[in-house]
Amino acid sequence: MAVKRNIIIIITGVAIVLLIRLFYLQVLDGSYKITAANNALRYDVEYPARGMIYDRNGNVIVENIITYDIMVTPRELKTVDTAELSKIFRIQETEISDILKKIDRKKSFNAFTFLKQVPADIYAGFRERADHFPGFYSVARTMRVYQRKIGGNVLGYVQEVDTSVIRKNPYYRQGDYIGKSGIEESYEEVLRGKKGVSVYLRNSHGITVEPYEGGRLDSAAIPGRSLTSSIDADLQEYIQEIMINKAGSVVAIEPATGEILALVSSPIFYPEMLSGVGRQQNYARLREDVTNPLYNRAIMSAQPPGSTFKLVNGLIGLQEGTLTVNTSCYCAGRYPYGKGVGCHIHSSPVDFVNSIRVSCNAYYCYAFRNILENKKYPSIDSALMAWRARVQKFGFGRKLGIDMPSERQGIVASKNLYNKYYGVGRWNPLSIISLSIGQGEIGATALQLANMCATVANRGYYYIPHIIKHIDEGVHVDPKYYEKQYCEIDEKYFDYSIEGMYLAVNGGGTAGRAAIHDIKVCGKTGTSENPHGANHSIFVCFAPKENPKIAVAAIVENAGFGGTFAAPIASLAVEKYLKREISRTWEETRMKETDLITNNPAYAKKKFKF
Amino acid sequence: MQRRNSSSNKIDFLIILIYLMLSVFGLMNIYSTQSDTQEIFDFTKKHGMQLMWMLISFIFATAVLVISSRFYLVFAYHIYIFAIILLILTLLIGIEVKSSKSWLGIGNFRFQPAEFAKLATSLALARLFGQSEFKFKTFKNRLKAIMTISLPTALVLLQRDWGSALVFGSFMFVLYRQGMSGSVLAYIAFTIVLFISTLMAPPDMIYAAITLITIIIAFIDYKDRSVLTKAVLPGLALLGIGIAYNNLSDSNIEYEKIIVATVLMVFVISVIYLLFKRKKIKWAPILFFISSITISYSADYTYNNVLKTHHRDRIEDMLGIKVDIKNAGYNVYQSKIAIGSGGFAGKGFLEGTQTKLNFVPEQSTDFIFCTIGEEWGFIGSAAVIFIYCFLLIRLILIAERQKTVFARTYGYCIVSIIFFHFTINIAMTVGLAPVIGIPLPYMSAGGSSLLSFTLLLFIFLKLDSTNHTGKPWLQY
Repeated sequence: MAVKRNIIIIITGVAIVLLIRLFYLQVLDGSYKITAANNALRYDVEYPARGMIYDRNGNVIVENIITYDIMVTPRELKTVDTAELSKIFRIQETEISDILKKIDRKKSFNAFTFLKQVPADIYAGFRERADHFPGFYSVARTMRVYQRKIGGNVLGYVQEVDTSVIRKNPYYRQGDYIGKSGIEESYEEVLRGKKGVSVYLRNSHGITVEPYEGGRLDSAAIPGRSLTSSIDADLQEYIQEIMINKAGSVVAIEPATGEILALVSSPIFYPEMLSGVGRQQNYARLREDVTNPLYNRAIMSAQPPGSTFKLVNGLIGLQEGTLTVNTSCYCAGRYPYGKGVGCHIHSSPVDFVNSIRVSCNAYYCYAFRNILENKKYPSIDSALMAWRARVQKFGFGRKLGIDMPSERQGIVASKNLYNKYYGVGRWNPLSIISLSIGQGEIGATALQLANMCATVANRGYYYIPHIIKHIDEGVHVDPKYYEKQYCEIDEKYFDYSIEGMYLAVNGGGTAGRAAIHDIKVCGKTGTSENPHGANHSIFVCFAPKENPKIAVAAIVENAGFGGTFAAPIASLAVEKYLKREISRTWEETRMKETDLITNNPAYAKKKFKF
Repeated sequence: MQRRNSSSNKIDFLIILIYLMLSVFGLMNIYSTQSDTQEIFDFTKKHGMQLMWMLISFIFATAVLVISSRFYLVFAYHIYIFAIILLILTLLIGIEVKSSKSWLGIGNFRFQPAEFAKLATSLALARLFGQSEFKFKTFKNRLKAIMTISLPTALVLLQRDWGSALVFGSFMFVLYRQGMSGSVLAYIAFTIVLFISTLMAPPDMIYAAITLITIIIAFIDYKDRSVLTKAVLPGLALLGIGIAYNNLSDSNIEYEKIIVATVLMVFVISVIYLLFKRKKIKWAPILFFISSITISYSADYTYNNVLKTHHRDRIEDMLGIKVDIKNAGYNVYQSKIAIGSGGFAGKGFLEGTQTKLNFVPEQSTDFIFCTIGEEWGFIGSAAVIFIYCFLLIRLILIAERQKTVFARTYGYCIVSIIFFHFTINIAMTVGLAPVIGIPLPYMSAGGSSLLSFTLLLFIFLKLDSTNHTGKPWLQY
């Protein structure tokens, strides 16, 4: 009968389709066997020790101790003696049962972290009785230990990876650590090493039976490489100490190499605050702190450089030929054109060298106006842009390329900025005259100022500032840090600037407090006008005058004139570095004891807002 | 005394053997899904429960064999009405499990009335067709048959139990056996294909395909081919003009609209021509075209508005439109891994890592075939398919030898149900059908399912055994 036959044909047809599909899945396609094995694999991860960090003199700054993470495989868990566990790990029994309750619900083979960073002595107690606790095992992890009190802005810190990192980078898994900010972040890949892994196959009872594929996929952990930082730990600690209770930043560079000797951002935080127990609370506290310790001022906070910028304007004038070293100018206490620019009382008239010594505002107003009205350029627009290009050659208004995260570029005025602000053709040299003395539309970080100072000390070039000196085992430091960067100003002009800086410190100039009796310090003060509160005190200096060993820039926020705070602090740093001890203990004490934060109205106002 | 002997002697023991093979093999695999080897009589575990249900099923099976087969004939409608009442009760006081309200609970005891409704509907359908005057020709009778099936289907659908509702659709085979045109079956198959293609292919392609099939149907239907050539050739010309106009002018009418417009125009002209010539009009091609276009057009709507997100995900996963091995596709992905990893000979009893380590969800119930595939390999899975095939064909042969329409129809009912469950369940585990949660007959863990499939089968065996006695009282 046709209908019966048809129905039998349909049934047979379906059976044949299913058989073909099964034959394909089970016999022809081998990929499911591999995936099935993957499902049942056990991965034992071996964590490498993170690389150590040394300072430039070989002192250990950061090293590791071994701690243990106690893990639990939920499926292998039997009844747990929480009382004994509580005794071993010295935590509350209820806490333990809470963790176990969370774990117990998921009867999986994926291990759970039961406790983190258990110190070796407690772990020893657990290891003795480990066989009482089936399903529990331990994984050795290393933890950072800080031998020196170096700020977290330089070193950075280490913390557990979050999901955004895991999503972006396949290397990281839940529970891994990663370097955040500072050296720990920028040299993460060097420091972290490589995790090792052993893969085991489970049988149908979930028991690991054998290395998977004969251990072909296994790899040993490779420990992280050690780093030698260019930081001088003694100097760094010393500057941190004298910057106590002051907001600001100090950067010290070795001019001959561009190596950063110290990079202080104050107020400070220490890396240990953001690792291990209490991390969460500390982080919240640091974030809410109105003085913002997490903000790396030294490379992020751009301030008008004030009179220190006269060095740059003077050199540009000389190079452009709109100014000569013999140009002399009479100053009656102010620059009389436009809205006028005030000056302070000093001997008059002044030539180029003395203009730096006494930091004459009028002199630089004339000089800057000449730069902008240079007949070489068809318009003031192009003159400004030419000036801007020269300023950028000194490292202003762009990222220098330091090997640290979150460097900011600062500001250098451009024609677009003024065209937008005043309108095209509606501004002239007088509208922007404040640039001549480093105020207005210009902002530089302490790093950029220190770099500028190093450029002057080197008489025309710098090396990109960097915090790394050496990496172990054939990993090379980025070659860009070994290339001279020229600022395209003739070497001969620098002698006059340096002479001016020398006299500013040693010849009755503005920076007398920076003088050290047997070191030839050259410096330039600056006062950064601050519309939100008291002016910032700025100072750049290098020493010795011949063959400079150190260039320092200091910005002390809300401290007024550059000579009073920034100069002594920078000078103490120079003395500490060059002589390893301080002769002017009275100055040192005064600096340590000055508190510019507690009664600072700038912070009081902010506090009120919160 | 003699009668009882004869009845028990005439029972088809080959079917009982297959039944025992399937359920014992099922129990072994359920046992294997449990993570650690355990006591077989542990009634807190799935295999223990299944063993208990097997014993209960045996008792019921024996009872079925003892009760007179006349009982099922006489009470067929009563049982059907009782099942309908249970379904309505489930809607009112049922327990909701996984978004479908399909369980009734009495104390600790739970069961799915939909399982029982399959049995009841089979009996009612058999009874309906068994009436001596009943012929599946008149509209009234067709309506009766369709209503008998539709009522429980609708109630099960209201419980949002899609799987069981689809099972009722399998009664189409019964209607086919009882005289429904094969073209209806073919049209249902075509509808499914059309529905899926609508989701996967652009509409102009689909409409073109429908037009082509319409032309083929027309050629089969009309003896007088001259009419066709008169209609088709101008139609194609018209289509060409439409497409050319569309391309040359700026108007951007979709091709599918041009196709539909052209074909409808050809239809109208042809009908007028035929009326004019006083020839007989065949409506089949026209109906086919219009209904197909409607289905295709509404498929998108149905898909996006009637189906739930998880249904859509499952369908899209099966079709490979959206591969999502974490969520919707997880079950099938893991299921394919388990089955695929079994290889040719399997990993051996209790040696399957995938099933024992709980990678496949629902592995003792709807996904029991994974364990078979993993532990017994292609040999085991092929054997299971072969046994089902053998069972189904044997049941058809038995059905065909029945002397009463009642028994034969009932036989085809259980063939339809078992066939549908078997096909969809295994196709689902190997990724050929979307995940519809229906169990594998006699093998999946679950009391309601095992018991109802047992009753379904043993009632037929009982009917068959009385068939041989040749008692005249069954001749309606």
